Amino acid sequence: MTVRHPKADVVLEVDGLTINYGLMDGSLDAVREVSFQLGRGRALGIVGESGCGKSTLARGIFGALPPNGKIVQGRVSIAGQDITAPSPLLERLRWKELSFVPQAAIASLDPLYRVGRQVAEIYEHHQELNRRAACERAAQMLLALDLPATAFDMYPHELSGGMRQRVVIASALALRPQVLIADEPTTALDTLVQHQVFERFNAVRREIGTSLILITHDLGLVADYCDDILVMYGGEVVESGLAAHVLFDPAHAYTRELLNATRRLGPSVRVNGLADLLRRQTPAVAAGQTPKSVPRAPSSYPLSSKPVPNTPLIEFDRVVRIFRRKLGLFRRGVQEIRAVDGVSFAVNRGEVLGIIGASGSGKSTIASMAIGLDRPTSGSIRLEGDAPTGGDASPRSVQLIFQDPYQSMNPIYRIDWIVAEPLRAGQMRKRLPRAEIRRRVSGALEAAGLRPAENYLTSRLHQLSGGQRQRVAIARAIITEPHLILADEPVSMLDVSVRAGVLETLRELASRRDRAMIYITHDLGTVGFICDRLLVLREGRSVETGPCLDVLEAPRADYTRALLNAMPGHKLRQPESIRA
Amino acid sequence: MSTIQQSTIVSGLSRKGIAPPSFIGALGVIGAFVLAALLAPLVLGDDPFANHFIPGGGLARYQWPSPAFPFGTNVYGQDVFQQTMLGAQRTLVIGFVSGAIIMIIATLIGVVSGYFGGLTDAVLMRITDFFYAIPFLPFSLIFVHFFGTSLSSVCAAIGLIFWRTGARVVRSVVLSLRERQYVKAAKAAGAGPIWIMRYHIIPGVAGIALLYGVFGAAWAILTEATLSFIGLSDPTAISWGLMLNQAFANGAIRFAWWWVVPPGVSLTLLLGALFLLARSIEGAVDRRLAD
Repeated sequence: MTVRHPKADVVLEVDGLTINYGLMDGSLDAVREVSFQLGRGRALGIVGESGCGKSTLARGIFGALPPNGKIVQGRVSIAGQDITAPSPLLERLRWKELSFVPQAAIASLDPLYRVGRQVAEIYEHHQELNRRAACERAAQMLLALDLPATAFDMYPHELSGGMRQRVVIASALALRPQVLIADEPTTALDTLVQHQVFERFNAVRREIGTSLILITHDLGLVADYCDDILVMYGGEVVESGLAAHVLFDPAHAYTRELLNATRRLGPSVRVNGLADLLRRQTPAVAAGQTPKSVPRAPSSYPLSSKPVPNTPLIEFDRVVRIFRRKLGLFRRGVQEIRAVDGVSFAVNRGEVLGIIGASGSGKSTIASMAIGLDRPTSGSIRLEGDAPTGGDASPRSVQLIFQDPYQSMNPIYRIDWIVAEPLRAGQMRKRLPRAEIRRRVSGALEAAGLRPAENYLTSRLHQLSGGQRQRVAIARAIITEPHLILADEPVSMLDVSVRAGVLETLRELASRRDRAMIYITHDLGTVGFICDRLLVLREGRSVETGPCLDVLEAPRADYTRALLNAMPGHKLRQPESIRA
Repeated sequence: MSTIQQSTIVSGLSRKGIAPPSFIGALGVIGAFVLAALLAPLVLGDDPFANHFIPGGGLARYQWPSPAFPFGTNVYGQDVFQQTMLGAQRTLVIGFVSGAIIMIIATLIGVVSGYFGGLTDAVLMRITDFFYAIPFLPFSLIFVHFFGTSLSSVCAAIGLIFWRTGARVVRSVVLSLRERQYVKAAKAAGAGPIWIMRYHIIPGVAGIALLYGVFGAAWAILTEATLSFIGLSDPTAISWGLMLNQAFANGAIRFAWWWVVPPGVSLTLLLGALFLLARSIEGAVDRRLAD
């Protein structure tokens, strides 16, 4: 059921919109007959997985489709005026009545101008204010979004990601448009920063009465900030209505699937009991709409806290890593950055340690040192009793899984080559016979959940989905039979519905007796699913460490509490509150 | 979004898989010259300096183009058509060999310099700067003086100088390639520098190196013609530059157009074709980089 508003209260109406992409071989309807109404001052969340057409829909409404995209049917109107692109009216209304924050908008700031000027320019251009008045308005807008007054005269590179995002949002809201379309506005940000940006953004938006269309894959954000919801699958709307209704009582199987995937990864997963959740797992979606990957039922899971053997596989002892940076061309001296500042921990065999921290907390430096690509300035790292020898000479009993499966593998090679690379290039190689390499590649692919392996051996990366690619990365990491696997945000780039499956595979691989895993993330949402113990980092120091459940349930440090608080989707995890 | 990153240079020439006409035309012209160079000795005989006589017994000097001599004859009664066709041999060999030398040196220097950076980079790039400072003609005068005017020494003289621009450009591409995630991933998996350069860097710069190889070939051909024209070539080996040199030396450039036009037009055609070929490769490389 679409939400219907009284005629006078509808600011944006989309009616039967179909958008078609011309491709090399034929064409594709990326959006099919989508209709909805956006009420004045309301927020509508459009959710779905990558490829469902939600970004295309946003661009279609704003008239910013790529050259091969075309609106073939339907109409878009704002306050009763037809603005179906391409229309001259739309040109005039853009930014004034309808503005857009595209994906990766942070990069859209001009590095050569101070950010305040960039916002002021909008007022100068659209409202014909003189420079002084425009700057005043711009400064007010930046202040409204909680930017410090000094930010006005700074260049984009001097601002953090969160601050730049605030500037982008400030310029989108500058002319008090009736409608703002935001496409994944905060995906590049840490949870904590995302929370702060969103809280402020939402407050300003309500104050000036702008309606919001939020394009996201995160049901949690929709639950927290949106009034209405539209669920898309394969270019079509599968369900829509009041967010509270749909999220509390989803009618469509696909929505239920998404919701379960989100809930399953919530921090309280162990409390509810994994088995219980798996039992409640919905069967695959209606015919013809099977999601890309339905997680397999895991074989036998240690549901209670399992006994952990007491032999550390890797041990950090008061590790400090200092980076020195020259201050500049004309300034003497060096700046010291203590990226890691006296961190100690040990990971035992058969255990998964979660390292949590925002960007800049030193978690990636810890990963580099654990794998031997970097050395501590002081302190020691012992891997299976010995220090890693560093550089290329270290035996690869540690392998790393990278965050972005689209970037971490060379696209010119076939899957079998990619998976075999660590075996052939690494120091572990003993000139293995070709048949043996082939056998191990197949074994690794199947262990990573790509079976039968023959179907994937000769494929190329671009033929695989994000989840499949990350499984290839996992196969690549386990082929040398490493004792320690380091996973650096392995699922943050993946759709919610495939995250659980990939994490299950990782969990299974790490729970082997002789193996351990370090799971690095800024997202507390997934740690409950996979980690035994947690280490919370802040600016290079460990602020809290303990068994996963204890940390999530009863955090001792304020910082951990702040992180937990910032996670979107509180309402999702407490269904009672959504009903209210 | 799928990309066409995995496509080869040739299939990257056009998104639709059809090569652009300039590419086909360029290949056609180059192919025709290769064919001429291969067939000429068989069809026309392999002595470009054979003298032809008129029925009366005198040398067939300055004969206008005729069925017997399609491009006429020169002052020595030699067949200009035959000389032009045979001259293609030396020109093509020099273009190919020098182009290959340029491509190999440029790739090696650029890849090593860009990948290792630091001191290696500084040293190699200063050497490159040094080669930029060498003026070509004086250098080749001295080089030819010591090493003779043989085919190999001319190729060496050209190849040893003109790798400099290619090396700089290859280095700049390597600087961006080495920061790719998959290079870091390979390092993390234990791959050494040789492995990474062989499998991750060189395939990425192959297109741009080929582009500079083709440009190098064009430069080499032009340079060889220049050297021959100023008299720095083997007088017993026919080449287009030598033909122009002799026409000039005999003061024939003003009236015996049939002696001058064939080598001049051949040079222009071949250089133009190589340039178009390079442009097509450039387009393909750009598209690959864009993807």
